[in-house]
Amino acid sequence: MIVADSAFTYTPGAADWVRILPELILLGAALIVLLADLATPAGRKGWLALIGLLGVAGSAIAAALLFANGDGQSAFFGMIAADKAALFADFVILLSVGLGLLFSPGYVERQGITQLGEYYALMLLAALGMMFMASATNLMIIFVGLEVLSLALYILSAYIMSRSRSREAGMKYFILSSFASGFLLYGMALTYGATGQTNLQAVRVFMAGNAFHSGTGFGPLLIAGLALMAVGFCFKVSAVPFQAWTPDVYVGAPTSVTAFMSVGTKVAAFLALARVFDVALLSVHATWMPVLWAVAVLTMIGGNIMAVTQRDVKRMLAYSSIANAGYMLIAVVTGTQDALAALLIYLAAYAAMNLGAFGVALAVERSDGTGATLDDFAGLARHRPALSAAMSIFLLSLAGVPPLVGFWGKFYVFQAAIIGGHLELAIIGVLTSVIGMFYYLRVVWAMYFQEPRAVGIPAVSTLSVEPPAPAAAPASASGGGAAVLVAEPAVVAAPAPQEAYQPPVLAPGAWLGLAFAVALTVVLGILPSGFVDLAIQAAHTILR
Amino acid sequence: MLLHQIAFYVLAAVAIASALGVISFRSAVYSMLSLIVNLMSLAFFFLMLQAIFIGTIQVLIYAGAVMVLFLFVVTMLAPDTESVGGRNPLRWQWGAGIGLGIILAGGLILAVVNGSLARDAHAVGADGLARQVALHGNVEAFGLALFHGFSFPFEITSVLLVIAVLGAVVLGRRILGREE
Repeated sequence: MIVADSAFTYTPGAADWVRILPELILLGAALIVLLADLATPAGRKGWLALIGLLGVAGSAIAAALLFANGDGQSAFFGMIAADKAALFADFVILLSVGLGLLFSPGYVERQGITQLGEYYALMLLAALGMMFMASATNLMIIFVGLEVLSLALYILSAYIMSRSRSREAGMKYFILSSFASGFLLYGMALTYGATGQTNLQAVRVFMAGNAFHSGTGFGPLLIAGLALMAVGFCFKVSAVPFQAWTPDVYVGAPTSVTAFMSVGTKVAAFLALARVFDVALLSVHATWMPVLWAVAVLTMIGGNIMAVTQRDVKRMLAYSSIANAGYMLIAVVTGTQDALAALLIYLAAYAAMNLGAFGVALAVERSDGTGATLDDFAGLARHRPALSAAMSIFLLSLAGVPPLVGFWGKFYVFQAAIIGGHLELAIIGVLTSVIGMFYYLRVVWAMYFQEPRAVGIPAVSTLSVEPPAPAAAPASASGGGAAVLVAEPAVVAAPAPQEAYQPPVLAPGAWLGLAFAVALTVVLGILPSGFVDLAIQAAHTILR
Repeated sequence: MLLHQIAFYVLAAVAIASALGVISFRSAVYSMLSLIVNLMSLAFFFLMLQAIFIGTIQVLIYAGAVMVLFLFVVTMLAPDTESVGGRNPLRWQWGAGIGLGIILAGGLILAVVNGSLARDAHAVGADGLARQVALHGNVEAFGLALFHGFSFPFEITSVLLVIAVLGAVVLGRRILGREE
């Protein structure tokens, strides 16, 4: 084979390095953060986040330049793509890691996280792995990228070692995810055995040839490979029935990490999934489609129904991310060019609104990592009107309410499904979105129409299953009334006992991050045409 | 050819038995030892496929260095809690796990027996690889592929190693802090 021969003589040139410039800049930033950590005194680790943010910004600029002027060829012997789809995904990943970094200072200190140099470096390296995986055009790079991002996220999940929930999250994620990686690798090995290629484009050419269509059709070897790869990918995007790890890991990990990984991992895994199933293996679409169809339906129904019963908002968001994976799977199942554009739109919309929602949950959370339940959100609007308004925007967007960006994500996915001949998936998607509406709006209702939770007496808060807690109502009503009049949290603290309710505090960076997420959610929702065009352009390149 | 087949089946039996040993021994040290046996038999598989370099590396790195490290850690960290387990609260998972495992193994065996393996393998283009090996020699062909066509995955594996070192620093130091 020609490919086999040139593999022994190929030499990368300067053009190859230019095509992976965004990744190189991010890698450089991560290493600089590690070095700068040595020179930064203990109280000033926020500078490291700033260095990381500069790296993210530089990487985003490089990606923008490549998006506008790049030749869209793949680099390093067809290992990694610099096409518009990859660069679009890079943007979304950089957005999520950037917001994750903005949320971190303040929060990490409140949670008692030390070793911040390694923390910020690992965030950047995890994003690097996501970018590799999202741009990979070779099964090998998909796997190595996946391992880079997973390994960094295992460590980040377990970062608060003094807290058993965080240790449990890291351990659980590590063991289950390694197991799933094993499935994925086995599937890739069998696919390589069946096609003789790890390069996705070469696999596609091989599949399009008559090798499998002659005789008895294609071999069971390939089917086994497909099935095992599907298992691996479905685990990584937390699709039902491989979702069991998601809530525990999302709740146990530091919230700044959860916010980042809930989006970034999905972007990386869905891009890889789309490249493997919708590009390389499109000619056997009829074989894998029923399996992913069933997974998509199960994920939409299961994720939404399980989310309804949650009282912890972080846990609810974890199940909501499972449900959203179901909507994204619709796009992969449909597999047309419209559907891939819709997938990119959905991922970008999901990044803005989901990171924002986790950002608010992170602000409400107490320093021991608890306190993001519905009770803690009750009456939040009186103490923190801006925070509540932001949370409402994110949740309404997640629910798919029209003028916000989440609506467009759902709209284009369902539209692509209907055009692509999967009307039933669109109908199930719409129906389960209605379920979603309930649990998202319940938080909004708690923030605006419920009495604030009774002061920090645990006994009362555990009793107050039915809102509002009767015992708490009179005391906090007076405090709340004052807050409505003056809208000044300091006044609220005055009438209440000192150890009482503490309104959430936010570092300036987190405010900036939330403002950015709100701006994206609203502006892209009102004026979607620009970024929809970009996503459509990007989807063109993925199928080429 | 017959000798080759006998060797294959003996090695296969050893590999499967030792792999089962890894997950069924109660003592962690015994599990380690059977993992070494498993990795050794895999190394022999590579040798039978004339992948001399990979086979040697398998013995040196995996069966040698990595496993010695594992044994050190296991014997150092858990001298008295040698056997893990006790009553398993999730007994029904055993049945389900074994049942699904048999289905998976059956599917894979079907794939092999069906004969498609031989037909697919012909398409792989192993001829090109064999020609390169004949041209340059075993280790040279491996090195050429690694540093030319496959240099990029090789390079980004170093990122993986950086992360692993960071993880060791973060998680290791923290555990020491807790014990003080």
